[in-house]
Amino acid sequence: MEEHFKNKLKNHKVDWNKEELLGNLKQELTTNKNIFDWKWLLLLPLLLLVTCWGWNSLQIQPISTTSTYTEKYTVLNKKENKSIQNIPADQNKTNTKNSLKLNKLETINEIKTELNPLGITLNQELKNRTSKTNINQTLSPHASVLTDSSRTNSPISKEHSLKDSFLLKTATTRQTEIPDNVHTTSELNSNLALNLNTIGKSDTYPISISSLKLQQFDLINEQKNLQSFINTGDKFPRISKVKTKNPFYVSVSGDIGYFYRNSIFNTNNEEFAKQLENNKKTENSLFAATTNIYIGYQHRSGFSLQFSIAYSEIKEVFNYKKTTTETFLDPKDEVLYFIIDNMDTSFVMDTSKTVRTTERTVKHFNKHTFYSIPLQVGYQFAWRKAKLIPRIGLSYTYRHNFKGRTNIIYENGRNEFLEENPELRFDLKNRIGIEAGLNLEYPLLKQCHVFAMATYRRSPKLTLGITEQRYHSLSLGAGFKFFLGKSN
Amino acid sequence: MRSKTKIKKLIKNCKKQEWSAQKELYLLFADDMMSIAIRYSKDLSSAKDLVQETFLTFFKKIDQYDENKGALGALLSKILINNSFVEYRKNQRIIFTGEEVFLDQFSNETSVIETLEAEDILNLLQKLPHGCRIIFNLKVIEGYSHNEIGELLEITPSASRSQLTRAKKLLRDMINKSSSIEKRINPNYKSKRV
Repeated sequence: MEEHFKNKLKNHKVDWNKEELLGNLKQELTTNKNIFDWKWLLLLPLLLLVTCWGWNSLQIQPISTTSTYTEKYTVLNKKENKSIQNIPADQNKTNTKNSLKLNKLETINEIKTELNPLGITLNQELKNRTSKTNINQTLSPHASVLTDSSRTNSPISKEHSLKDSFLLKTATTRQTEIPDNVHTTSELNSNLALNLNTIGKSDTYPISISSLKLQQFDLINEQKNLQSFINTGDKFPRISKVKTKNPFYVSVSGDIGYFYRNSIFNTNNEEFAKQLENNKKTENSLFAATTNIYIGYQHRSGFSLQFSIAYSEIKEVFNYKKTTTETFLDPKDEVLYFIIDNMDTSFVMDTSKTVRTTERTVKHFNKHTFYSIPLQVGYQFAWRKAKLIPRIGLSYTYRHNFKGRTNIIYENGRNEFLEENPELRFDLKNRIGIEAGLNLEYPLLKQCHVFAMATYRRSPKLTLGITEQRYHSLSLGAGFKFFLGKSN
Repeated sequence: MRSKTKIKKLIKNCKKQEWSAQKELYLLFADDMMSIAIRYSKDLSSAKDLVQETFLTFFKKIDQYDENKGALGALLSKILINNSFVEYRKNQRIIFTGEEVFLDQFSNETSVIETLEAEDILNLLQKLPHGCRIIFNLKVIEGYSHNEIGELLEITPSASRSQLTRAKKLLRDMINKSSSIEKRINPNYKSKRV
């Protein structure tokens, strides 16, 4: 039989109109040319982050800031009468060493002279106190230049004096990035007196400031710094107290929740569609779980932009306790038709199929895995130390896998487990999903925050045969956020 | 006429997405593909879909085609056979359930079988369940071994063997049934048509 079949079929030609497929073929091939390649979307979040990074870098080192401070420095540095901008780094250090050798009293007098026009007076106690300390170092003109390079290059520059920070903050217009702990812009054009008597018994610092423009200056923090410096023994407050956080962060999170499967059956067979709709009632959600690794940018205005690499798993069980109708060919029940054509009688086998109804329970255990890249925008509402961050964005699914296991329980009680074919896969009709959520964030350490989150996700549309489905999940989770690098 | 140079030229133009070349290539190979597709499909319309899908797959991935690796006809038939599995898997959630063992009970029906023409054989094949049909085609017509079929369909060789036995049994039963009825109606009947 095998040989006969093979010989007959090998050279058999089918009589058909091959040109009727040409139209479809042309249409499909032309349509495919215009399909947008969604893979390019992967580059979008990277591009946005690079832009943010570049923009942020420009914000950190404005040239105008250096010139502003330099201008003020020249007021202090009458003796040398030089512009700090013209002094190279090496020479800068030498000058600093030299300045350390200056007579202390002479320096104090100079301070007095310098402060008087600005309306700041130091009482004798402060003079005495400062004379005991390394006032030369703290008043070193080089240390007062607050460029980023001087902060890092000069060891002395890291130790900024009270006077330095005070003078610079009161007498200059700050154009640098505003630190987190600085209050919003406010101008005080009136006479302002700072009475820091509460600091300590013998440590009174009556300082009067007249006609000062205080911009973006946190008096409370400054007072705290002063107190800290007095209590810790004559150490001058450091400028690092008002450092800003690096706006880039990495975050790791996990969440688990419930999902709803929304499926549509594209069939004209109403009965079949009805049966499928009934089947839906037996479908249960097990869980939807997601893990994320985010890279984000937190702008000082409160807005944040983040993208992540996400791995999601959805597990579901379908429990069809219904009568299953099978269509199959049973030779014993074959029905034959007779066609009588003139004198010849021929026999054509029935083309209809036998339908057999059997009772069985079918359980499908399905696992869908999604690999996606969500891109989200958030806004931060601060409430004491905690932060509330609503976020929303799109998610690009670049890979989807499906794995299934079926348990069939027959009428006679026979139980059979089958692994579904791994190549049996759903197609992604479009790759874009939606993701939105709410994070409640709390600083655990200076650079590390902990957060709880609630997230809604809508998967892209999946198709398999006549079925189109989409998953909507709602989950709760937690994670950690690490701000990258050191503070500015 | 199919000359190597002509096909080479057509492929070159197909790579440039020229419709005229794609059309010509399709017309050259469509009949051959259909003769294979009809064996793997349940009817003519499914076979047409399969042929269309085969050419679409080929034209979309034509950049990967290396002429030195094999003849175009062989490649197209390979795509077609592979597509028939994919299509089958998409439409069937479960394939090759269990490993039912059918006894290979071939009766002496050789005289009847020999009278069958290609059209009759195709009619019989189209009545087979899809899984059986695929395995029967792969084993009997294409000459694959059970191990190869197992690898292709991701089933065990013994499952392939049992499906083949089942296919043969079904074919034999269909032939017997039709010939007995025909004999009953027409005692002088010599089995010609099924």
